Amino acid sequence: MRKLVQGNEAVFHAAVASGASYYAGYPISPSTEILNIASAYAAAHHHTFRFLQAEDEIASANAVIGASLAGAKAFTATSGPGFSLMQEAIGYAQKVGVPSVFVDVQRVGPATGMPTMPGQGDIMQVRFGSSGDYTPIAFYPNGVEEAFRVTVDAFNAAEESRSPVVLLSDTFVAHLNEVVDLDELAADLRIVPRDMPPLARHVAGFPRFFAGVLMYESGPSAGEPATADADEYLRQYYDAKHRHLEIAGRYPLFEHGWNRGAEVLVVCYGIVSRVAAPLAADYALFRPIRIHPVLDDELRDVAAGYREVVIIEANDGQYADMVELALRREVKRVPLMGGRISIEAIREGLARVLAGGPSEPPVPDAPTERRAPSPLGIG
Amino acid sequence: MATSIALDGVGGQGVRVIAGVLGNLLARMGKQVTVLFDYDSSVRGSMSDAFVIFDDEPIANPVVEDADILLKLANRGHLRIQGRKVVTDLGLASPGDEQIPFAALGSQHFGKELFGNMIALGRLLRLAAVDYDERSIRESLPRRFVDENLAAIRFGFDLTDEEIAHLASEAPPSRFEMNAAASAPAPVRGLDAAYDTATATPTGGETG
Repeated sequence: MRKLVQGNEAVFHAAVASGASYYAGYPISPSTEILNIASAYAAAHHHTFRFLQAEDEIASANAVIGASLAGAKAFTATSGPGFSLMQEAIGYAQKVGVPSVFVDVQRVGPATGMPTMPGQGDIMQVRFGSSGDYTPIAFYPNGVEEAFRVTVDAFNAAEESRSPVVLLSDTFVAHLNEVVDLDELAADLRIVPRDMPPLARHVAGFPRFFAGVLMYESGPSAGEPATADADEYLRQYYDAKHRHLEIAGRYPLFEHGWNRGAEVLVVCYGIVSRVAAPLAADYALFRPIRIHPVLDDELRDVAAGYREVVIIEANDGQYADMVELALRREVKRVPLMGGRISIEAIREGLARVLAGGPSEPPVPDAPTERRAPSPLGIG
Repeated sequence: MATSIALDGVGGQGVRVIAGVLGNLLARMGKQVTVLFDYDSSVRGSMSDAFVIFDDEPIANPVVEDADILLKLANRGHLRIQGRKVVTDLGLASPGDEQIPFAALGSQHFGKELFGNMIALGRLLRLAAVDYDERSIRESLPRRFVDENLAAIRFGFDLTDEEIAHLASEAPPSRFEMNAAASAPAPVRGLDAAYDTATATPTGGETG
């Protein structure tokens, strides 16, 4: 049935449609609806879906890893500060190869920041948030229907790559309600089944290693520490990297649209690409849906035809840095900071940077008038 | 042709309910709809806005900065939102705005100020020229007080321009004006009190 569905709701239902049977989490705006819906769903479907509200995000992330190793497709949802707490567990899941999905609904940080305002400040946290080197896969939809489809892709990519895949969102994508038919979306999906045996089940020829420390995983020393053997590190590191890149290559998701014949290419993603839509007549759009690994080849192909490339994003140039690296070419940046994702701010920023001005917007003077205090303080 | 509606209020007034019912109703009527909520961190008493857009075509940008209709139930929201047609509760209007004592009407006709938000929804439906059918709106309403809500919506929908002009002229003082003094935060516990020696009251015994 066609009805109004919220972005967060679509993510949850897509997770279930993808075969997820475990959710652990800790509430945080603007992701909390996913936890609430998961809780209610688990109460009604206890035999097929389990739910844990843990004491914090560290426990939630590790519970998700445990559930996945035990055989369940598992996921969690959080926002920037919670995602920071999950980074150690995400690094572990990268090292050990744990299929799982981490939803990060971005708000304005750092720290508690502006908890209900939309931001995109975690682009680099997804890429480099944990220690060491790893090759994360991350997607970022810009609407409710796409949130459903891309969540399914995230679960599939997690199984195929045996890694924690990140689904990025933001306050506005999460809280946007649009008319969709969830039943229709859930029909005829390609679902990658779990093919990794659960940890507790021994399968001959499929030894499992789940220590965060480097160990030999094959050969005569299998099961022994390899903590001083660079060769073993290289084998495992590049094996994972090549696998992740190959799987990511199956999801080269992006949109090249608006006025393709324009002179200026605007790169934006998530809710910014929706708010910027009134630019459609005068600019071309490149909208990455797969954020990591960066769509280098696709970006190069598309950007080659444009005089200027402008990245508009709700952070201070995080994706712009990666685009510049991919294109080996200077790009212009319009940062939308403090939750002000508006067409007014976008037009003002575009006019400023295209006229050769700085990316930094004019900063208003310090306030002189007292604002009415919030009646109940800050909740 | 898209119609964009912005609702501006404070937490607890029912902005989300109005927008939710409106959005669900329009979806049931087969429209493309976006409903987006924008709110501050405090649970009650701070900014709570909603943006509703409907069209026969898919909607690209769900954020409303320039509304066809702006409903103002309070004055804490986005100063940046403009409305071509502005409807406000009492005490919030600028020259040219339509003023309707929604809360007072809710109390007077339906026994509770809160029904004012359904009267406001009725007025929005009229201004947006949404020809609703009763069954669709019944299915879109919260389960409690369906009949009362429906009557309040119809009351708001049926208000004529003459009635609205009359209501505004003989309206009692705005509850916002009356409430402003009554609901001002007590200085003892107010966050600001600690920094404002002029209004701070001694807080002996509350330390630790």
